[in-house]
Amino acid sequence: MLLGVLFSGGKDSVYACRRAMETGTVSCLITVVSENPDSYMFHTPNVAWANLIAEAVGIPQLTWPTLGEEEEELADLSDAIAAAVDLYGIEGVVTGAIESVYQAVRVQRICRDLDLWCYNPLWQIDQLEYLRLLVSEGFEVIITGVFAYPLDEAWVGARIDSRLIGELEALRDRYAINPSGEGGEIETFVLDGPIFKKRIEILRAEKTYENYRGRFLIEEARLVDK
Amino acid sequence: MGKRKKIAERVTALMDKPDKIRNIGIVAHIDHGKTTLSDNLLAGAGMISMELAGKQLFMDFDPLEQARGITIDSANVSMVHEFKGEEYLINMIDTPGHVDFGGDVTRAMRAVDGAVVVVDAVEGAMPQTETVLRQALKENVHPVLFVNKVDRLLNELKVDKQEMQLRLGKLIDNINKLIRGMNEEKYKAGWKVDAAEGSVAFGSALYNWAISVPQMKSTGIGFGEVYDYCQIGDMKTLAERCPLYVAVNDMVIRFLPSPIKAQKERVGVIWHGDRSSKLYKSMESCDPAGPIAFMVTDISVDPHAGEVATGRLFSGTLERGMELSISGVAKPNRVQQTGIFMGADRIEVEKIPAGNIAAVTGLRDAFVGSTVSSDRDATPFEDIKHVSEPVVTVAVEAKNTRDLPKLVEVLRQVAKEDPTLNININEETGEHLMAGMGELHLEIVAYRIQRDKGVEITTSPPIVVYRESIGGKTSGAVEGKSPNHHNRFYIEIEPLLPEVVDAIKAGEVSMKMEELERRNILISKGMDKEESRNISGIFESNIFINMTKGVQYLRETMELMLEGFVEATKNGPICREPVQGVKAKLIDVKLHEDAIHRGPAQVIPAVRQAVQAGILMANPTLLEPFQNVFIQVPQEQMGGAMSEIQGRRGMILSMETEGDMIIIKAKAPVSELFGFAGAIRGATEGRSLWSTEFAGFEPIPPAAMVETVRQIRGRKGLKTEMPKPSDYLKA
Repeated sequence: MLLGVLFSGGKDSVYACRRAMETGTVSCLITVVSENPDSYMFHTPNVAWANLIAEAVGIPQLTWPTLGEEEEELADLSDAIAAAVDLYGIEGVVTGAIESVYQAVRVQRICRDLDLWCYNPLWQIDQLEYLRLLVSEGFEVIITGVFAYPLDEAWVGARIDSRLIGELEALRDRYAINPSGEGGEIETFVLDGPIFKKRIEILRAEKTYENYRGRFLIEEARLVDK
Repeated sequence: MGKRKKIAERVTALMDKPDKIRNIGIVAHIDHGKTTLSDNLLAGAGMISMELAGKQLFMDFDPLEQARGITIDSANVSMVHEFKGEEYLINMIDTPGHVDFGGDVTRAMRAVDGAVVVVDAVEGAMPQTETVLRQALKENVHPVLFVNKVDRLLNELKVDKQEMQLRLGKLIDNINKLIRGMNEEKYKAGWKVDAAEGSVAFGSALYNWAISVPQMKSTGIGFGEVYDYCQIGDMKTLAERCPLYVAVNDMVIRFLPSPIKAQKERVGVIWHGDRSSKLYKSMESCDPAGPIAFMVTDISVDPHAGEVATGRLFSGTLERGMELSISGVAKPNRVQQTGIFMGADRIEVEKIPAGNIAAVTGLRDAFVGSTVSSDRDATPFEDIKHVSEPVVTVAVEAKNTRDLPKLVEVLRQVAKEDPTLNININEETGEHLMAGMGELHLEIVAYRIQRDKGVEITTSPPIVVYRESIGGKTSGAVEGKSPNHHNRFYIEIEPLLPEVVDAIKAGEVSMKMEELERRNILISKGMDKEESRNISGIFESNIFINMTKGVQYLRETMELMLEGFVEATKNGPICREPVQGVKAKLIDVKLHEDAIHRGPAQVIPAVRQAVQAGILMANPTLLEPFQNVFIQVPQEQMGGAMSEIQGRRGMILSMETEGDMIIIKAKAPVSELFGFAGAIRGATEGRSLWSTEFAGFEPIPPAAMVETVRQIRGRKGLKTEMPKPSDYLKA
């Protein structure tokens, strides 16, 4: 079965892609680029660099713009998926949704209307176990955005490893933070992993942080041989 | 010990006869002789020897108390007294008089139905006499009067017979004036004290004698005889012919109500639940077969049995093994032992019926003020309100690093035992903050941490606790965004009316009362009807109001919003001092429909920041605590005392001449009063008597605000400039 993965470059879409590659053939990565930094649907920081990952894993990427207005952005998503059907003949859509009902339901509806299979390989996975899996399988993931109390500046740009997973676990117990960021607490970018033929090297980046909102904005990056 | 065991048996025999029980407190201004009086009563009951009474200070069983000659904690004792051929059980609580320990007095008042107000015959009614009397009346606790140190009138002031009676009459008039001023209704309903009726006794606790008008016939001792015996210095005969404990205990039994009578009147004052409920009816009738209703007024630690919760049982019968619910705690606790107190000793008894003061172990989750009940959904008792607020803070550190974990544990423990103490634990820095009612209060707590708990500590010099408030309101709503920007809260900040703030501080309005009752009180204090109807939370003297209508998911999010509001009011935006008198109105909300996008990590900071920014937009002010200072000083030393006050930004409120003494009433900021004890002693050659009481918070002069803010922020390691609203709203 030919599949298209909704792809932002964050850990969930990259890992969903890996799972999808075990189930069928991933023929394209669909990236919706939102102009609204506070989009309800789409991952925003660093999505412009998702093309490097697409190149690293060797799968064609389809990018589609949206203004990112609440609900209206869904029509853009639908258009993007329809384009993927036309160009790559996909029969199913893969998402990295874990618990966000809001996002999952909306993708599900679009797929139903387009008569496509909607596959959520990570749906309801234990978030901490999932993070540990990422690390043990060799994914190199950095945090490119924090949007929750009491996450501080030190989280911005940090690498997800077992120590950081322990801290997330403590924050989950104390502040009900979703360890994998399903409530919009954390956004990530993947630099390397088992499906990567090359890895990504960040040459220059800018950090911002104010009142529990921090970003790690990649300014220059390249692919290097492994 | 055999003797005391026998008393315990007599006590238990009376415990289930509520008409034969009197629960009383002894209250007074410092040094007017409460503890000496209590000892006397104990001696009368055969618990200590008569010779030792007056010297032993049995109730002050803490060595520190005995060394300083003052009472710090409330101590409890149960004793038996015979009146007109029948035995009565008197459960007595001795309370501290120093203003720094006012919290204990307030708590003790909840447990008792009557109070013996002790007043020094020479000094008359003093500031704390007024404070304790007010506390008693507020809790619906009936007063009787004991005029102590009558011998001083004769020996020190050398008054004649007629003058003595005149002076005593004037003293009683003064007390009645106070009662009348505090509560006219009660005064008219017979709460005034009356020497002819017998609700006043006169005597000397030190010399173990006392008289009252009704007893003059049987003892043959009147004022004339007292005068004569005092003239020749024969106190011993006086003590034999009219022993103090008989006069006072008889007065207690005659004039102070039994639990049956008292609970009928009191329960409605201290409990605001449903009056048609089984619990209310059972408490009102003091029913030992009803559901348990137990109010904890004291927590102490027994090295063997653990924490002991002492309090008043209003309904039901306490027995070992009972599973009881504690207000605000999900899991029930099991009663391990039930007992009564005899000074420092706790004596175990099988069961304790309604109307008694009980000491219970096993209630691990209880703290002072907890309501304990067999009914899981019982409405809790009204909070015990303290007249004073913690206004002074010291930082506490462990001397040895290995004591660090132990210190945290000990601080949690002392906070549980003393609810007037505010402990702020900071495990990151190891510098913990301890706020109390005064310099002395904190000194004593620090001393106890070292001596009783065995942790060596160092304390910083005391600093004052400020309050943040506002003088104006925000123009329109402030938008608070959650960190993920998917939730928005629109909040207006306005000052609360002073009448409303006072009502909250006095405990007249709380979230525990029925909505309608609360609304009516708030409206009567001048609050808008619509606002009064929509109160979501009251914290300290701040109110959160929900003015939105029909917003989806709001109910499930409200708790988090309130948490954000509490955080903002605990740590105000100006310099992280507590906020008071602020009303936050939620005007509109936008919530993400997906629950995981609006968890605590999103909602709490959004609301907190909106409130903090709002306060800064509403003409923020900084308030500092004041104390009233009462100084009694000989005329020739008056100048020294006056300049001590004036040099401390103090204001003289009044000066009265009393014999050759001057009584100065003044008011000064607490920040200027550190070290006052030593200074006034020096300035008046040690010839002044003084006391202080909390006098509320007042704005600091605008000119001093910037500098004070800079100092406080600097001390807390914050950026020293006064913050701007945008600092809280950025991103």
